[in-house]
Amino acid sequence: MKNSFFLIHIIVLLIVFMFSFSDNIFSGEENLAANPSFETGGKAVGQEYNQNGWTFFVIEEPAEGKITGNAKDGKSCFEIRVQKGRGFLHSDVFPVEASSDLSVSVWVKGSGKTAVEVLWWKEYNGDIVNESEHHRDVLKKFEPSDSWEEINLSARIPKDAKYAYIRLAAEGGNICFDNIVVK
Amino acid sequence: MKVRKVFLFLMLCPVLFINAHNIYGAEPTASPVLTPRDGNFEAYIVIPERATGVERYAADELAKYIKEITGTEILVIREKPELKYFGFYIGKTDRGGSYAPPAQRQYNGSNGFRIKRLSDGLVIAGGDDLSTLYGVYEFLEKYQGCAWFLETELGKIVPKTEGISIPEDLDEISVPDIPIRWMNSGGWALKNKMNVSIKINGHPEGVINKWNYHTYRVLVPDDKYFEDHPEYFSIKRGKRVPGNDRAQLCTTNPELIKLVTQHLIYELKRNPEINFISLTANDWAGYCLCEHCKKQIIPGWEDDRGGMGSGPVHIFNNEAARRLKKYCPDQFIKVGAYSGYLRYPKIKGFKPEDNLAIMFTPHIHYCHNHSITDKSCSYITDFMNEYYQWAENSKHIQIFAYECLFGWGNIIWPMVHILKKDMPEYHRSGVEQFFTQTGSQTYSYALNYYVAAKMAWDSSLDVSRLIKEFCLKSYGKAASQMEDFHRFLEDTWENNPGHVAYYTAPLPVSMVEFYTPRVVKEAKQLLETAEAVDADSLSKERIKLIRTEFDYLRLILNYINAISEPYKKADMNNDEEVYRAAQEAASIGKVLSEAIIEYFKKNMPEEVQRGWPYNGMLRAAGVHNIPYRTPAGPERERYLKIRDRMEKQK
Repeated sequence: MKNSFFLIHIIVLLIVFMFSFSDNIFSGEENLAANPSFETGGKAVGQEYNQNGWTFFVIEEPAEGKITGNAKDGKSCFEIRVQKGRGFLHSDVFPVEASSDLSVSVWVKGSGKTAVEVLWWKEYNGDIVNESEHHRDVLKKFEPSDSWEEINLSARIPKDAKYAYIRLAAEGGNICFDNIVVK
Repeated sequence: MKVRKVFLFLMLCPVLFINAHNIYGAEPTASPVLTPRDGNFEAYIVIPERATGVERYAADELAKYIKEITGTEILVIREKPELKYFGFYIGKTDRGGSYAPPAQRQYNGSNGFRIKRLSDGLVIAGGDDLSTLYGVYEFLEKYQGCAWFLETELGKIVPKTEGISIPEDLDEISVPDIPIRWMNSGGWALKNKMNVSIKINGHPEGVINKWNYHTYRVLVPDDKYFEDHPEYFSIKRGKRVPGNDRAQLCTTNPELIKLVTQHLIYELKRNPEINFISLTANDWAGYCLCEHCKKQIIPGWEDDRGGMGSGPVHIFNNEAARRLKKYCPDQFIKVGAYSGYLRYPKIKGFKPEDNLAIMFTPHIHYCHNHSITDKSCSYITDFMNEYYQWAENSKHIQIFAYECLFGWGNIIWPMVHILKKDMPEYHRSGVEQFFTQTGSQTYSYALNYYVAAKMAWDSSLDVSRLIKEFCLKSYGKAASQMEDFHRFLEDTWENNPGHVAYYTAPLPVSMVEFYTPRVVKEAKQLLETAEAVDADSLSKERIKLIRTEFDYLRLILNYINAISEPYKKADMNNDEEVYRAAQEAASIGKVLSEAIIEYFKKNMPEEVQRGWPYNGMLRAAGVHNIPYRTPAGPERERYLKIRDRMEKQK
């Protein structure tokens, strides 16, 4: 009896562990975006730089970006409320392999305009950054709807790029982002 | 073959040959004179066997001026042990190199020189190459009576004598008080011992600066970055705006700090000769008001004109400096302490990184009529409180001065009374670089430049003597009368409690308070007395230049007084009356300014016309500057609206 209880306990812990890293385990390939579903960490994205894998920038006020409960899956998503303003949500930087393909999948819903962009870098470390010759790709600009919609995009990685990050831009509305997968 | 007899050319003949000092009326000294015999100097200028380009240039300069002074050529030769003639040993020769002062400072042109008489020669050797060249100029200036007051021919003083004066006991060691000195550029700068912004044979020498001051727009250009990265730029009026929209950078953005560091490293690696690279905010406010930058504003300084940007700007500077140090440990970032980032940030534990050179900039709300040592001027004391904090805490403290500021308007403006107190204090407090903006190349400004340059090298110099020397060399027989003229203005300014500064009391406003009718009348009389002296033609030409500047000044004064009249009659609380007065002043100003422009174009020398434009002064003085006279606040805002209305009408 004591052993069975211990076994059940282990199985439960294993399931919890698997779900918490679901993006990695079930995709078969590592998701380059850190904290892709905004489930880990507090709700402080946008308050401090480089927290929870994402950074929010106000480009035009009024604009506010924060983790909310309007999630596609799980408990959290990232919501940019910009009304008449404009804001950017940047992922943390991740390494890329030059001259190969990068795929990006984002779940989006809301109002206003949005864009999914990727910015390429030759160098990116704690001291310096050095942008790629072909620095920015706007993968898609669109107006999201009230219901969740999956956007699948791809880009060719420039031959001099070693790093990249994703930019989710929002303008003139409230837009939610969730389950971002970058491979 | 008989060894040729060694000739001694040094002849003690004070009666026959008048040396440089007594030409101009100073105390005569009994200096031996090296004279040519049968049209030849039996002497050589000797350079090291493997002379550097600068040493060769120093020797050539000496030869050039000896020829100009005496009319006789002297040869430059490489050092040989068997040389038996009198030699001017230039630089690191075997014979004279060991006399040079030690090279204790890292900057070329900062180690000083030694001029030493030997039994059969004269050594001029610097602690570095450039200092050897300065030794040559010192020898020409101090012992032969040369001077270079302006870049022009008229500004060049080269006496004609029959020989070269070399005191028998000459042994002078001279090391500059301020290691890095920067005023003007080109030949004037070199001859006045500046070691920045100078070239020899087309190659930059001395201390190499990459950019001078404001660089945010250079390092992060709007056209390259604003579209892709608006987040790098300031939030101003609620949105990110490019630098050209009178904004700055978002200095808390971590990626921007890395980008700026990368650009600095790129420039420094590309040219390892660079000593200082500038990282300084744009020349306006517009500091970022994003939530991160706002957190770095020092509490209580949100609207402080000298401190609103201090927190974000200087934290950013330190961040960049820390990163850069790993990649370029021997090169420095020059950052401004100026305008909204003048104040030393009140942040616990804040200290500028060692690889930052702080360029403290007394301007904007400063006072240019009082010395930095003047504790009775509140503008000055406010600045100096900040200065001493920077000086105490920074490894490299530098000065970006405006000692020659009002040359911008080509207006005769005495600055020597300030320089005589400022320069010793800058030296005492450890200033590493003295830079001053220079504008006008008028002859009256030559005196300011001369004194500033001299005191940057030796801050203990007697200023009265410097004025006297300037006048003796410039004005010949009329020296005494012109000295009275210059001294009258210096004394008048020194005794005037008024303030002068860009915003504190702009020149168009303050100049009428300094140039009162009585002052103008007395100065005119002194000038007329000098003009009446039967001086030589070059001296008369120089006095004529001063007269041209003086008459130009009178026209400007007349203009300012005339356009001020309509405002005196108007009710300044009534917008319509102010508007009408502005219209009337504009129409008066138009006529008078055209006459001034005509005078300027017709009479001012070419070098002055090439400088700051004449209309800068008129614009500063003109009707559109009603608000200029008014401190920030609702009244100023009201005047600005009236000005805008007039602009639209135009």
